Amino acid sequence: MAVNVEGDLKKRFFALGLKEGSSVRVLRRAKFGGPMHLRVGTSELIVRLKDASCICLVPSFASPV
Amino acid sequence: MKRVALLGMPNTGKSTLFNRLTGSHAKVGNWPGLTVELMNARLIVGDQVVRLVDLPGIYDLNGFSDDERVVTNFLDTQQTDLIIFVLNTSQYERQLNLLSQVMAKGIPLLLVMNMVDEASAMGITVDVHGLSEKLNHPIHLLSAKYGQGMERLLPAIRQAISSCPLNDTPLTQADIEQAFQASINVPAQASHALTEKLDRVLLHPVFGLPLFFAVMLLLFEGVFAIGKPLQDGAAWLLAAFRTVALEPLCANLPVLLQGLLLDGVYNGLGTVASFVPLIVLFFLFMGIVEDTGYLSRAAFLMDALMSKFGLDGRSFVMLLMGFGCNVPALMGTRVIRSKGLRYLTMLTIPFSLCSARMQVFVFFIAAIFTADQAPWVLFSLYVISILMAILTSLIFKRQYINNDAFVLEMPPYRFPTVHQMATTSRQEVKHFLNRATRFIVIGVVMVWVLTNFPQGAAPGSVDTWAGQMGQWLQPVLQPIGINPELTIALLFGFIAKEIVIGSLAIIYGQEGGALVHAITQHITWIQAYSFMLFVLIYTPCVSTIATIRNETKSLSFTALAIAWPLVAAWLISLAFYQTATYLQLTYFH
Repeated sequence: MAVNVEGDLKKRFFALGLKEGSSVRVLRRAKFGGPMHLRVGTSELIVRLKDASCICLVPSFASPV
Repeated sequence: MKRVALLGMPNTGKSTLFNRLTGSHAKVGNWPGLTVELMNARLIVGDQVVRLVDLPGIYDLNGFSDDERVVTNFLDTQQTDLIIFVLNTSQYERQLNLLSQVMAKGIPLLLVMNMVDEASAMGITVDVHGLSEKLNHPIHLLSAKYGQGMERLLPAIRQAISSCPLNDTPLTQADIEQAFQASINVPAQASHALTEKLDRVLLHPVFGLPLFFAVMLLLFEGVFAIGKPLQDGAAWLLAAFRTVALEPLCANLPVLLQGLLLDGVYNGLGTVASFVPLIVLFFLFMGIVEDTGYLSRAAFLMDALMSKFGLDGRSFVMLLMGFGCNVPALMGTRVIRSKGLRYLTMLTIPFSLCSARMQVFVFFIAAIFTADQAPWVLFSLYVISILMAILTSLIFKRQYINNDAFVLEMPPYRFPTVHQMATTSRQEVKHFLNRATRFIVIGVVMVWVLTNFPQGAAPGSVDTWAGQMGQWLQPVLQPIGINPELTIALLFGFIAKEIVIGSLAIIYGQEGGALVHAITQHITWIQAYSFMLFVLIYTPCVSTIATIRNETKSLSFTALAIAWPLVAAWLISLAFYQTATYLQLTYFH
C-alpha cells in the first residue's frame, strides 16, 4: 500500500500501523457509505472513506484467511 | 518530591494501570505551571513518595492535537524523573515510533509492556532480558487489568528512579525496531478469533444496526429500571433526614434563616445527591459498552448517518443516553478526544428529552389532553427533541469542526472487570461532587431567594421577586402564551425539572386533583403545549449547566449552551403559539 497524504493524517496513519509497504486487509465496509474496517498487522481500525481515499492499495493474491 | 509520568498511546491500558497503582487516591487537578488538568496521585515507592501523573494518550510527540501539545509541553517544561512508557504488547510495532521519540528526550524510562494476557493468548512471546539489554532500559511485563505482574512493578519503579541508566548515544528508531523484532515472537496468524466471530454478527450488514438499537434500548432501560427507584429512594432518605433531624434542629431559628437553610442550601445539596445514583449506574453501563470495545463498533455502525450532522457514532450513544439524564451523558463525551466534535456533541445533548422533563410532560398531558391524544402529544415532543438536536448540530457544525481525522482503533472484544468499572464510577462521582456542588447549591439558593422575597410575600406567589420578574417578562413571554404563574414555574425549572409540578402546586396553592382543575381553568391546550415546548428546549437544569462548565472550563461556551436553547425555545414556542391561536380563531369560531 501507499499513503498519499502529508502532515498530521499521515502521522496518525503511521501511528496506527498504516504505512507504506504494510499489508492491509479490508474486513468490511459500513452501510450507506460508512467507514471501512481494516486490519493492519495485529491492529484493527475504522477509517472514514474521506480519510481512506488517500490510501492506495495494491491487491495481493495471498489466499484469504 | 520526585515526579513519575505515565505515557503511551490511547488504548494501551495506561489509565487502568494508573488506577491499579493509585487506587482511589487519584484526583483530577490543575497542574501547576500548565493550564491543563491531569490525573495525578501520590504514590509510595519503597522509602519515598513520588507524584504519579497520568498524561493523556497520544500517537505522536510532534503532532498538533490538544493532547499531543499537552504532553510535549509537559515533557519540555516540567521536571520529570521517570517516564513509565506503556505499550500494548500485541501491537508493539506501531508504537515504536512514539517510543523512540520519547527515548530521545533523554529522560529515564521504564518500559511497561501491558496486556500480556492478550499477547500470550495470541501466542506472542517476549524475551524480556534480551530486549532490556538491547534497549538499555528496564522492562516490565504485566496485565494492568488482571493485576498480573503488578506486585513487581513498584520495586521496578523504585529501582528505575534511583539508578536508571541513561544512554550516551540514543538509539535510532531502526535500532529499536531491530531490538524488538529480535526479542518478540509473533505467530504468523496472530488474531483474535473470538473477536472475528463476534464482529461477523454484531457488525453484520443487515442485523448490525438493529442489534445496536436493541443493545442501546437494553442499556437505557437498565439504567432507568434500576436508577429511578434508587433516585426515589435517595430522595426519600433525604426528606426523612430533613423531617427527623434537620427540622427539629432548626426549629428555634428565625423562619427566614430556616427557609434559607432547609429550602435553599439543603435542597441544593439534595439535588446534587440525587444525581449520584444515576452517575454511578451510567458509568457502570458505559464502562461495559466502552471496555468491551462495543463503543467503537457503535461508531462504525452509526457513522454514515452521524457524519452528515458533523457528529460521529460515539456522539450518538451519548445523545441517546441523554434521554435518561443529560448530566452523565455530558460527562461521558470525554471519550471523544477531538475538541470540536466533543463541544458539538455537548451542545446537542441538552435537547435530549430527559426523564425529569418527562415528568412535567406527563402531568400536563394528562391534565389537558384526552387519553387518545396523550401518546401522540408525548411522541411529538420526542420528535421535536431529536429534530432540535439535529438542527443544532447542523447550525453549529461549522463553528465546532471536527478537525481530527476519523481513524479509530477497533479494539478486540474484552471482558470488563468489576474493579475497572467500580473505579471509573467512583472517580466520576467524586468529580461531579467536587465540581458541581457549589454551583448547584448557589443556583438553588438564588431561586429560593427570588421566590421567597420580599418579606411577607406568600412563597412562590406573584408578589415575590420571581412573580415580579414574571410580570416584567410578560412582554416577552405573553406572545408565547406563558402567564406570570407559569413563568415562576419556569424559574423553578431552572433548578431541576422534577420540581416544576411541585412549584405549580405552591404557585396555585392547590394540590393533586385540585391543581389539575386549577390548571385546566387557567390554561388552554395551546398554552400548555407552548409551555411544554419551552420546557423541552430551554436550559435543562442548573446541574446540566454546572456540568457543561466543568467539562469545558469555558464561560463563553457555557453562555452559548444557555443562550442558544433559550432563544430557540422562545422562537419555536412563538411560532407554535401564534400559528395555533390564529388557526383556532379563524377556523374554530
